[in-house]
Amino acid sequence: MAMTETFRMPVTVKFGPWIFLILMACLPLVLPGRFWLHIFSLTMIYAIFVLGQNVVTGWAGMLTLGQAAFVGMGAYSSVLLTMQAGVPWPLAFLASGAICAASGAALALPCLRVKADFLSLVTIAFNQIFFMVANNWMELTRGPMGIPGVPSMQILGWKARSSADQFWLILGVAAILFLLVARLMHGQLGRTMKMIRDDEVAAGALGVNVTGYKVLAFAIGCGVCGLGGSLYGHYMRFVSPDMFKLEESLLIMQMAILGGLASMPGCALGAFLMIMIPEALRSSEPWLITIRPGVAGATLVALMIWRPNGLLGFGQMPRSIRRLLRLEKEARP
Amino acid sequence: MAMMTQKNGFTRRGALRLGMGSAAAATLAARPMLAQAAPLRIALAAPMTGDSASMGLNAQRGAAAAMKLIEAAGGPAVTFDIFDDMGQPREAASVARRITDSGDYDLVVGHVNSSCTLAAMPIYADYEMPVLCGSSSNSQVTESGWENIVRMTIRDDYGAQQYSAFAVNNLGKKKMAILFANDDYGRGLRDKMVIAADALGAEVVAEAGFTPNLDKDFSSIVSQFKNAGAEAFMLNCNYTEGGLFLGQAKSAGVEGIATVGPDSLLYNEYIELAQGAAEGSYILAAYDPYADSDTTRAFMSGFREAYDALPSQVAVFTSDLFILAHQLMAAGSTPASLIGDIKATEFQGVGGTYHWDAKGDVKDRTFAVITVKDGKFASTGAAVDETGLDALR
Repeated sequence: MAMTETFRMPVTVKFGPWIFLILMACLPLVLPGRFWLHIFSLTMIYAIFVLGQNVVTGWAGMLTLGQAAFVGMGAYSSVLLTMQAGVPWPLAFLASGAICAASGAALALPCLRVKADFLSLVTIAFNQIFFMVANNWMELTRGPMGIPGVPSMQILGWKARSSADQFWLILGVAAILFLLVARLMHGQLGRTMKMIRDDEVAAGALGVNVTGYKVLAFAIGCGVCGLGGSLYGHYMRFVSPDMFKLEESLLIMQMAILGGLASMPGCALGAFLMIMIPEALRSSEPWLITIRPGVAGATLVALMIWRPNGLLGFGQMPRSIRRLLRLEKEARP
Repeated sequence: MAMMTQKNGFTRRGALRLGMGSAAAATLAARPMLAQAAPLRIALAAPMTGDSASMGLNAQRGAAAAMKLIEAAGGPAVTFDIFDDMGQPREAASVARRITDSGDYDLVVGHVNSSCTLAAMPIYADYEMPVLCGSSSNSQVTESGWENIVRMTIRDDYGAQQYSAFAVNNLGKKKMAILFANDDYGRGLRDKMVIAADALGAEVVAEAGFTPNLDKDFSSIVSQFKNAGAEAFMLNCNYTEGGLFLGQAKSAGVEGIATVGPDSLLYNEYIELAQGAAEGSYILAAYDPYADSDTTRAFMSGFREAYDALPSQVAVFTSDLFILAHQLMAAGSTPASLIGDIKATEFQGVGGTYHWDAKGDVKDRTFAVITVKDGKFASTGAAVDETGLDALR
């Protein structure tokens, strides 16, 4: 099936991400103090997690609820490799991605026997198993006491000490990961995944190796989460099993849904809102302390009513905004 | 962020009394320390929401109780803001950055959960922010090389040794069965308890971990402990699980076995849930709520009057830390010198007498032994017999 129509990329799509990247890189120069830098660093790390979730759920259409397990696996792999085996951080970072990609592929195989709701249950169970193992394998993980004193990220003798250094390093890694995944998802791989998502039977009938692509989606998504986990562990300088509980998976899923499934900017927007809203509401006022944990949930409920496909989900952006961003020229016939 | 002094029933009453004490305040005004008009600004970091919210509430109440005492004592004013870490390390790191970055605070009182303290400490250490920690008992809190922290509670490893020593030396039990919450606190305690039991010539004949806030049925554990011939139940858990365990043991006909637990059992619910089986059990508490001291009695009655509850360890330590900081600042300490000054001082608070070693741990403190008598908690006045523990220290 040949595509004859020539596709011209809208100018906002072509240059938007680069302008956004430059603006982000300038943040440490303009933000007062280190607190907001921390929030933006955390947002970018979570955006990476959401990116991993989105590959599996957004593009390949598999509702998984266990990404926190892969984040944790990446964090623990990287932390243990650097602290116990003396591996330099960049290698540990790559290794954690590889470990999580392999584990993701391994989990995918039994998972493909179940569909939709049952897939969610299997991944929830996997998250619980990961938590239990991390909590009980004392010799390796120190169990529930966690691992304190994790070294900061370090590349060839340069150590990310200051908040700005950490911010730029995380921004660089996030940019590369987003770029790579965008290339994949906007290419043949992504289109095939979407095809499987939209109609698995039709895709199979056209000769697409459905199982192969699903396993690949799991491997990429979990690998990305693992890489993010490595950043997370070395950024927080502490890992413990309760950082990777089911609640964390739900948070990542909420971010993905809020931003919009299968949307690259949606990953960043979802993470930004779900980190920023609770942070903006952090206060010493007793009533605000009480309602704060519920606000994120309420946001999601409201969203599900008015924008069920997320803020930037496929085809959900209001036409006026699409035209403004030059994503769409004329109403289609 | 706008500064706000906490207001609730406790401090409002305190504020009224302050009016009556204006004459005393006039005398104090002559002191040079009041030349520095700026109040002492404390950030109280505690889990106000989430699974550990009850500890956060106790921290808040302890702080409110301390504010009343501070206002009555006069001296520099104190304000405090609460920061909710939800008992999660990620939130604790955010809180720590927010506190340090704002520049609005002279010191931190908190965090409560050890995992939160461990996640937040690298940030406080970077800013050299003094951290006065009440209840984080993980040994790593003071073993990680941070010089800007002191804590009130007895650390896990020493505490665990005392639990074992009490069962072996004071009660003469040689076969222990350990029930532990599989979290950072329960697990840490269990590990050191086993080592101490071994050193004291006792044997851990059975042990079982459970998932806190999830497991409620302990009947299989009861029979496991019974079949192993346990002479003492060591409960490393909260009052809910501890009470349920004893209640279910009683239902299974397992009674009269010596029981030793930490002060997280020191809630009336423990006695209620145990359905009479808590009678005669021992609780080793980091402070003695029934101590024969005016300070403690005044605090206890004030707290009961305000909240109709026994203050937990968190409440007492938070209150003592506020008062300690206030006393030292009134005596001329600065935030930069505070930790050093605390380590050089001896402090008499609600929770007893404290003094600290170079790492910031309390030294020469042993647990108060409390028992349940006629359905009520009572102090035994006994001390833990530490014979044989020297080899471990």
